[in-house]
Amino acid sequence: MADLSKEFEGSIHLKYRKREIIFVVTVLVLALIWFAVQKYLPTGNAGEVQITVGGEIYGTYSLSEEKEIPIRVENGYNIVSISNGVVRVTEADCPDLLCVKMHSISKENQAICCLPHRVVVRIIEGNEGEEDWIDSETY
Amino acid sequence: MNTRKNVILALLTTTALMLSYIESLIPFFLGVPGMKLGLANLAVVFCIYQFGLKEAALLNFMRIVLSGLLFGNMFSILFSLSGAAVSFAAMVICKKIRFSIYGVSISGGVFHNIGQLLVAIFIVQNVSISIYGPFLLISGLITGAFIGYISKTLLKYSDRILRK
Ligand SMILES: [Zn+2]
Repeated sequence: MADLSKEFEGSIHLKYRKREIIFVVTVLVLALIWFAVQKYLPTGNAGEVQITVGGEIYGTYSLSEEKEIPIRVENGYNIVSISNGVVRVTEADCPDLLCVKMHSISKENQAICCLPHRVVVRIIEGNEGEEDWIDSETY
Repeated sequence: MNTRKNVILALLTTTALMLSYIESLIPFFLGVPGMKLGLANLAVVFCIYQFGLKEAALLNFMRIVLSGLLFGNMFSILFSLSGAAVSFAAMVICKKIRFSIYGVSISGGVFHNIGQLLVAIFIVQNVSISIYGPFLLISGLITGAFIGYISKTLLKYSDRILRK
């Protein structure tokens, strides 16, 4: 309790205050740099959907095709659908079903994950079918 | 005196449970499934300053196991435990180097999210989900500052009531 009552009297040592401010500023700067690197680093065209299970590549599919992909894992399944350049998990039997409730993805590096099944569905660079996709998305 | 403290600790655990429940109603956060905002840390921060580190560690452990049994599953218990452990360790260190309650609470929020992200990456064995990192850092800062403010306000009153 001793340290608290000191605080209530409003007499925190400036030296300690400074450490805290440095800590907060460091976190902020780190977050900004991290964000900027992701945002402004040149990226290719979102073209393919890569699915990994426990880090192993399960399959890679074109973003421009219309497809339903059933993923079988040790403890269940997820069904991924690719339609009009948008990817989502439509069905699963994981305990939380968060992967199904998650937003759909359509841009490079975006990802959907299902932690209980160790599944990551991620959009990566690819040139296959890129024209179709750009046409429908930007114009 | 001891009974009194136990009762208050039990009430705090219940409060933490309620906060966990409220969180479990928010299905996902920043698009990272399974990740939680860490509101229950309010009870933990309060407990650190009202009773001490040991009591707070016990409360933290109890509320995770209980909320996992009530609203989650084995998986969510392990996931929350790892986030909470990283967060608690950070808070202990920050308190040792004499951060104020704000600094302690903010470090708890930030490291809670870092811990969860690291565990999530470890589980799926795919670093690509680290795209959420920047948002998790910022949200940890905001949640931490908010919890620090509420805890400090609560302590102002609890000190008068509980210490009698
Ligand atoms: Zn899932």
